[in-house]
Amino acid sequence: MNNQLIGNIAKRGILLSLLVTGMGWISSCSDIDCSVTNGVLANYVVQGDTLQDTLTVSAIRENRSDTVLLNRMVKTTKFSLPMSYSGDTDRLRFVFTSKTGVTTVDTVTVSKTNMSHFESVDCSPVFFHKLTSVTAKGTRISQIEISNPNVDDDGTKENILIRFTNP
Amino acid sequence: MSTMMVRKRTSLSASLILSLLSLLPVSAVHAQHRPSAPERKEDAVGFFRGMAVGTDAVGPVMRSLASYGQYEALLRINIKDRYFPVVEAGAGQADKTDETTGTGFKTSAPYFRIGCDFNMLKDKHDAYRFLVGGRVGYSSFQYDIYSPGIADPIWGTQAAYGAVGSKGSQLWAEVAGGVDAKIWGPIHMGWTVRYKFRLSHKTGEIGEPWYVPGYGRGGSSRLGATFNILFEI
Repeated sequence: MNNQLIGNIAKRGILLSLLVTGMGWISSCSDIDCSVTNGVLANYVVQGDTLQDTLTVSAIRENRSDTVLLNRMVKTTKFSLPMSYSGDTDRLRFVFTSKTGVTTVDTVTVSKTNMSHFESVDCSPVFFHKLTSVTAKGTRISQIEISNPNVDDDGTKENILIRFTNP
Repeated sequence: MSTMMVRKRTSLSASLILSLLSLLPVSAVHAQHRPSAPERKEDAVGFFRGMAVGTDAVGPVMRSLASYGQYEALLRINIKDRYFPVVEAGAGQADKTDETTGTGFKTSAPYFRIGCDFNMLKDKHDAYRFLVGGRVGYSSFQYDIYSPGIADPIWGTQAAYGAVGSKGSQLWAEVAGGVDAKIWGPIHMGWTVRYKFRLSHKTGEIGEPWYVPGYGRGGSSRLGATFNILFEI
């Protein structure tokens, strides 16, 4: 057995081991990087004076009781609310409670379109939304309008501008 | 004993001197005929040294193990044993459903790459080659994302999720390095390790594809590897 033959066998052995190692490495490569971990939320920004009353926001649901989305928030300047995955319209009940215990209720209606958003099969499915209109009924919300219609995983967007009247 | 050692040293020194002396005339001759500029050997090999057809073994293994992969063939031209223009074409497939999320991704589409390798070895005619080069790849494809549906935890409804037939395309570049060895007769085998980076891409409204045929798992850059089995003629 000469040196050249030994060299050839060694080189082929290295190639074979590289093949096995490389395939193991490639098949083991898996990374999960989900950017949408905190859900998709619509961001509301309060305009004008800070709200003095305590604010509670609930989702109005068909054939079900309301469920609380925001509980007893004070000195509200901005807040974020989840949106329905597939509904065309979300109805929200805004309950204002003054320091003397007087309660007033406004209703906000948000219309939108919904889009499936995919990041990876490993990540939880999420929906992004495009706001089409927003209206309010009641006495405490004096103004509400869309600022940025795209509700997605960018938490810095100001989606809805809202102004309250302090009695 | 000491006489013998002295004799041995004397004979060793003599042979050393004789060896040096024997080298001297040769050096002198070389010195006399040394040209003013270093003499360059003419490369006697022709321009076209042959071609090779082959396939990648990693892609099909990945397809069976990792639910995505590709079937690929390549054509490589040998120019002066130094330059190796190459065309690679194949079909990439992915069919993956995550057990936890229930979300699935499916695609199947052709792709191609074109590029050139350079044999970096000093002895370029050796049976072993160390190749460094680059590729540009492109694929136009459709992909499906499906799900059994998602329960909305707040509003209590069931939401349909997914998209069928989303259109995507991607242009990318690869920097490749690898080895190529003559195994037996015309049979060659070799590895390439590749750094791939996206140059441009278009995706469907739902989001970026989980897998791009010929490129691999999504993302702006990634590492890849091939193990090529070639028939060189």
